[in-house]
Amino acid sequence: MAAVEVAGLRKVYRGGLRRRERRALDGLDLVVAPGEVHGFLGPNGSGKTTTLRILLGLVRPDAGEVRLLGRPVPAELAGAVPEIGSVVEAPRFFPSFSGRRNLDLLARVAGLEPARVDEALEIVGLADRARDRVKGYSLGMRQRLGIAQALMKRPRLLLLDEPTNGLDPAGIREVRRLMAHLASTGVTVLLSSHMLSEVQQICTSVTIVAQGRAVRTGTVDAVLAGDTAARVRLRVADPAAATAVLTEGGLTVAHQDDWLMVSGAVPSEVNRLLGERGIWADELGPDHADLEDVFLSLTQASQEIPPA
Amino acid sequence: MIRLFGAEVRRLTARRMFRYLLLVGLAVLVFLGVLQAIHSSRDIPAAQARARRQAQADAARFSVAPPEAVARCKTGLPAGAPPDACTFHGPTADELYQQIYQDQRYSFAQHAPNVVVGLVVAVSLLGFVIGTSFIGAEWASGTMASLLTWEPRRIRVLLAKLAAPIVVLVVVGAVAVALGLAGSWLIAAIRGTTADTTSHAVNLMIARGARGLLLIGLLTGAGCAIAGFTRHTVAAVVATVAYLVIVENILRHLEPGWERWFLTSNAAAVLTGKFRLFLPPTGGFGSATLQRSFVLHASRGLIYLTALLAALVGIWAFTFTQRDIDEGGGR
Ligand SMILES: Nc1ncnc2c1ncn2[C@@H]1O[C@H](COP(=O)(O)OP(=O)(O)OP(=O)(O)O)[C@@H](O)[C@H]1O
Ligand SMILES: [Mg+2]
Repeated sequence: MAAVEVAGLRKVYRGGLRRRERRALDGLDLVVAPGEVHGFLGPNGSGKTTTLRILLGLVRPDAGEVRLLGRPVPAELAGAVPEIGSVVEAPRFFPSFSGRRNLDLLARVAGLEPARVDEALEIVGLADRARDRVKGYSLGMRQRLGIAQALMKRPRLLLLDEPTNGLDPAGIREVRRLMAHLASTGVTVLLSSHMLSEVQQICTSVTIVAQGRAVRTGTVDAVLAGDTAARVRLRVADPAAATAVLTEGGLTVAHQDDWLMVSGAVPSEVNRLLGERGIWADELGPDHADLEDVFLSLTQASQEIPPA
Repeated sequence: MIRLFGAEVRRLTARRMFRYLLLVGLAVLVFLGVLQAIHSSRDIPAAQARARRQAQADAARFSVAPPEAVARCKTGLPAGAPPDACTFHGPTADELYQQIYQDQRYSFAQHAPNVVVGLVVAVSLLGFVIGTSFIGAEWASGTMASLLTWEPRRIRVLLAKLAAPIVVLVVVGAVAVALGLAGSWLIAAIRGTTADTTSHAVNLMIARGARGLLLIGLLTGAGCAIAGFTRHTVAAVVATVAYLVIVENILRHLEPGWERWFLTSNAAAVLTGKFRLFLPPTGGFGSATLQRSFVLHASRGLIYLTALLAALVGIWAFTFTQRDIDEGGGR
């Protein structure tokens, strides 16, 4: 049983006086296996927040099926909610109450013991500011309070919308450690983000969305490999000769600075072709693209979402 | 559900606005009490003597008609008029005394019903404002989304948010009425009179207080519901004030018959027990006109206002369950 299952999700917002329609989701599929830290990537306006809002029953989809921890949403959301911690967009609190009181009010709703509030505040490093009014919190402190709010339930599933937004480098690192720790205790995490290097470090699997649709999904390695399986970086003394040999061998060669980029083969094969003609590589290896390359190549096609 | 309710009560009572308003209310109550106590006097002989002096002075002044008026009267007089035709009959000192003398003692039986009415009206208005701002603040701060991630059953959330201010304000109203009556009794016992207090008067007062608490609950609930579907404190208050000032005020003059459907007249009926509405006279015989009027009873007012509240809550529930919660983010 997957922790999160989304199939064929569609949502068109109708807003404003002229009831303008804006398509936010266009048949999105998403599966997160238990125990995964799953990155949810996409450019601005691609529907990440909308998806999380639908998962939490805040927004009603026009079509599609959603299950969280095996329960259909929104029908049985109430049964799943005690095990789901979430932060959607910038977390919001009552500004004139202290951080502690804000959490305390939510803890009361679920009947959690007050100790959980302090525990969560401790985890996010907000314990000494907990009695200050939220009005006086910085962006990062609010974000921390939001994460504390999500952790308070000791959830089995965490849904986080850009959790590191506004955090300082130390905060980002803490969140990263926290995710790793939670994952090691079996918590499933779905986290949307723009910070690709971040996702690459934290997540075990990713889904990349564009224009309200999933364009690539899988483990981080697989998604990276999917783009670069056949790319080899090569440096030789005589690039021209090497290019001729490899082209003859049916491969595509591109020049990039003083590197040759060979597509359509794995390193050993390139090595063999060159060795047979007595050309010896100075450096040879697979081209490690990062998530950013994959992301941009997949999502750049068109950033604009056509009107519904 | 009960936990949700408890959390809402806690949020309401923790709000600074709520605490300040309670303090201000208490201060006003004490101030008015002290004023009444100072004003009350048990020195009946002194009051009587003062009134008698005043009555005699006034009678002396009135008994002497201005000479030019008497002269004017006499010039137009037909022959054969009685000699005292132009004498002026002013009120006697005794008559004036009856009008001038007032019992200066604070009377529990007389004042306590007004204390109840005043407190109920004040707490009702307070309830309306607190109700709207309690719900409006939730939308202003954008916290509805996070609450719903803790309790996604929106009808439950709505009922807790409706019940919390109603219960709290009814309790506040009950305490205020109890304090007001106790204060009133205290003033009467120490500096005034409780002698004319009949058990009938007490029963009426208790009934009025009880109906007043219902009214407080109704108005507080209405404030919540209006802020619930406008999703905005100021919008809710402005809409309500605009309705009262524009619709009820203008229609009262244009179509007095519709007054029986007004909030204000029904609220008055609930509070006072019977509220008489006058219609414009349609005609009569001779110089007399037939005054048409009818009476709104408390029970009718209660039913009507409850139905209105139910309708408002219905609209709130509909919009709350149907509309997306897409506010409350950094968009
Ligand atoms: N309440 C709303 N009313 C109308 N349109 C909306 C609303 N919320 C989102 N949209 C539209 O839906 C689309 C998806 O928005 P969404 O917020 O889900 O994107 P996102 O992936 O979270 O973007 P970002 O990375 O900027 O947070 C956008 O085109 C947006 O304009
Ligand atoms: Mg977003």
